[in-house]
Amino acid sequence: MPPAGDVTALLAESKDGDTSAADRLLAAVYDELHRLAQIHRSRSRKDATLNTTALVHEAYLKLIDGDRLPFDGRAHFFAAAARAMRQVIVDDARKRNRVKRGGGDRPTSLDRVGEPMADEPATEILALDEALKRFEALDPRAARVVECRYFAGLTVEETAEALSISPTTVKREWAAARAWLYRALAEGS
Amino acid sequence: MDPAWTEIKAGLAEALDRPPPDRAAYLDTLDPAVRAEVQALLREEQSDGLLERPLTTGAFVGGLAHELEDEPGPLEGHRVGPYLVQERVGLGGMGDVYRARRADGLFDREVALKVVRSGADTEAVLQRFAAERLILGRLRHPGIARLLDAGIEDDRPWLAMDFVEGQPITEGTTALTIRERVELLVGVAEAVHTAHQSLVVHRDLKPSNVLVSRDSSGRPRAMLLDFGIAKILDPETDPDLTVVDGRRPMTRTYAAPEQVRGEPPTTATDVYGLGLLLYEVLSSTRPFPDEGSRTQLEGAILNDDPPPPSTAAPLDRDLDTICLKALRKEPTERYASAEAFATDLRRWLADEPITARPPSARYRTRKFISRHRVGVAAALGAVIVGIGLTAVYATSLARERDRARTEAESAAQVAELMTEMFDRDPFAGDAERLDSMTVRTFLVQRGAEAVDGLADQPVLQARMATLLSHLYGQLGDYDRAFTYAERSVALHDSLRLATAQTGEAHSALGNAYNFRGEYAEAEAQYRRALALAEVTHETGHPNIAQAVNNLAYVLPDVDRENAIIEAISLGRRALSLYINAFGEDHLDVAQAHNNLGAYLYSNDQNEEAATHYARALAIREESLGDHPLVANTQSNLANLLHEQGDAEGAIPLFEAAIQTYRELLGAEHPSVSTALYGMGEALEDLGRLSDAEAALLGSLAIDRATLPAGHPYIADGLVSIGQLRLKAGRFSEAEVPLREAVAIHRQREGYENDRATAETALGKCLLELGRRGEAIPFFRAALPHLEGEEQMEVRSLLARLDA
Repeated sequence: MPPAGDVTALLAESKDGDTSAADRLLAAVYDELHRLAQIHRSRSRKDATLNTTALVHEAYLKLIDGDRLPFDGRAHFFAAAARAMRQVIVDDARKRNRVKRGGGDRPTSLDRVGEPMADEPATEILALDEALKRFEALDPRAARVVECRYFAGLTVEETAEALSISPTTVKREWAAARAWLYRALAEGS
Repeated sequence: MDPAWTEIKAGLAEALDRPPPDRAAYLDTLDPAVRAEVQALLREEQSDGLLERPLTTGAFVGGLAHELEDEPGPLEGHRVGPYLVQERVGLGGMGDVYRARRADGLFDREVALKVVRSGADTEAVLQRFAAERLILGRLRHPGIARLLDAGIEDDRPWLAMDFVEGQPITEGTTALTIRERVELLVGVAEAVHTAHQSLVVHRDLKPSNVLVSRDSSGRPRAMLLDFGIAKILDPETDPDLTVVDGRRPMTRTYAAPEQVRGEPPTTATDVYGLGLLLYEVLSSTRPFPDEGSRTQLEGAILNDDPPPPSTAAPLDRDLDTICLKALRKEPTERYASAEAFATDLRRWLADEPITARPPSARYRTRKFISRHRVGVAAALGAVIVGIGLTAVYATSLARERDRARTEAESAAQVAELMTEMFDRDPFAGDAERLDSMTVRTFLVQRGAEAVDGLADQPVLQARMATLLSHLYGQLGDYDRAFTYAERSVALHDSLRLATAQTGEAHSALGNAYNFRGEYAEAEAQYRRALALAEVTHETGHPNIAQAVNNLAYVLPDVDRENAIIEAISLGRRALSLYINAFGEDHLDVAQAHNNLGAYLYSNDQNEEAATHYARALAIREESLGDHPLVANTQSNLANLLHEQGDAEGAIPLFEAAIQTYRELLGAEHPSVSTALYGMGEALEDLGRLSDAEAALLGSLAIDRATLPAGHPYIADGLVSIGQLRLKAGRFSEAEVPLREAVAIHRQREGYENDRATAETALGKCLLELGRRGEAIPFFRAALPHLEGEEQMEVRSLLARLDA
């Protein structure tokens, strides 16, 4: 894990428009979220579902040095974290669809206790992610809202803060994205 | 942003800001092309899916039987889709059913073709079919007729299903003994339970949907029709249709109270349906005769206690009790699951005491107050959505609730408390409450209030704390899950209790430790839970098997020598307990085989692991048919076989898995990529290099389409393809993928070992092409991150090159 100061600095640089800093910020947040997710669930049993909100907040506490945080850096962090969280979840869903490939951490997955249908959500999450990719091309901001609300579990207010838009706009974007995605999923299946 | 989309989005926002009756007028002001798009999106306002709610609780009312005026023209001899219609075999409210056969000769299969009458909203039916197709396609059970296909012909939607011959269960059982009838109903309930586990609710269980025939040995067997079809055909899910036509659905004789009230059906609705079937099959009467007006029938369904079936036929009192428990007005007071209903019937067959109790005076006198009760299902739905990750979540949460309900002595009280907690949800009905933080805050306040308010009832208080611990675990709030589990255990300790619930409290605390990664503590709690399960449940109770299973599961993570050995031995015990409880072929048994296989695999006992995987596979194939779970196990087993050196044996398993995935999940699905990749490796070991390359390229193509650029899986695939081409001596063709793989790996932090492997392969490739100067830096970069033989090889290569 990179020291808290590094990520705080990256945050400041990426806010100033440094794209390589933004990429490194995303990678650092991704790695931390991934690591936390692993701790929380890879070895846990039946209720092994990610609580994305908690993970994002935990990553924030671990990665960010509050004293050196630039103004509205917190919001910026959450926007980055939402992107990274989506990738963590999708990778995780993918992994659950894979067995023993490319040095995964466990050779074979155990069934969740009393839960024979454990594989379905992975499939659905992947379908959603694919639809979201297409939507992203059409409407990047609304796609960000889906990342914040759905993948990172942020509230309307937190989403508004992270994306620097008003809560009313978040609600409107969410309604549009939701309708578009459901339609895409219905057509795509 | 796309300008067309900007306009559509603005139109959608405007329309949503208006109350539904005013929307049509607004839409008329829009450009027709924009209007069509906005309307299509508006229809999704009612959607419920991953973003909202579990699939079992879709917005729905009513069922199949609606009064529709139009008579369809005769279809005999005509083609409908790929089918040639042979004869009409049934008349339904929604449409007619025909026997048909495929006309294109692709399969020689007889199907039942349900052709929806014109007048139904064709597009809506097809949309719902598209949404449900995957789920229904996965629903495979020998007692359930499958939905095969659907389409549209002359503006009329049609559905093709397995053709089933037989009589409605009420007619087909008249010659049977009571015992045989009960046995038949056990089978029906098991099929329903399987569907529920696949997140499909029937919604319309009635005698004409359960056909009885004789199998080859002359034994009666039941087959369920139209599973999940009600949701597709029901026009009530399409608000436009009902508004435009002003047509009201008929109240069905077989409707459950919640359906009459217009609430979404749940698995409890099907339990009610099973109760109706049992009632009528045993007594040849219906609990609420369909005489008089619709209002009278609705009133009876909502308010009247049905007479016990023994008033119409000589029957055992326990059968009365079982029927009436399934037919309770309040969904939460019925059997917690179709499986629980089946279990009680099995107990009756075995002359064991049943779990259901006759309703107390309190139950009988209390009238059902609808509004108050909706809360549990709906609000639990909201909790699930709040976290919003999986549909499975929903089932396990519901299961925890069910477990609390059936096993707590104070079940009704707990349910009521939960109901009250959620009823006071200030955000009810508002999409904004589908938000994890809100629900969490809410649970924290109400949960704490509820627990604290029970200081004078410590047993219930402890029960409630266990329940909250489970709920928090589901929410992923492991700290609170831990706090409440600890509290529950402490309460049990202070009361010196050692009941089944004490065991559950320890089990919850074990889960909480497990979440925190404190495996040794989890183990201790699971051991206590197991000890309690053994003394509080009679021998052979499935809860004991589950407690054994839990303990076994944590052991591979416990840092102690020989823990895996104990896991294996407990895995064996869990397996035999499950077999004793459910027989050889139950899906839980399949799971136990699978888990034991995994422990054995971790201990390098591959041969025995393979037999357990194989057994798990056989059971799953038998009860699920073509199913992604089956394909997963096949793929697991195939990888194991390959590792054991049997690449030849692995190939057909990979092929079967790939076919199943493609058929059920689509050709572009990531699972297809996984299996193709595994198969490519096996083919390579067999020396079938061009087949292997085709498989790996197929896998790569899916990865590229489904993964972000630069994903390590893409690099994996590229390296495999590159190495394959090196092996085949096609060096210049190998360079391209290997270069891309190295580039991907070099962009990522970590993954040093994978990166080194790619660099080594590229170095070798360049060397073969005679470009040693270019090769050397790749070997140098790779060297520190390689291990063992590979490192030796590269080291000596470098030494020679430097010389």
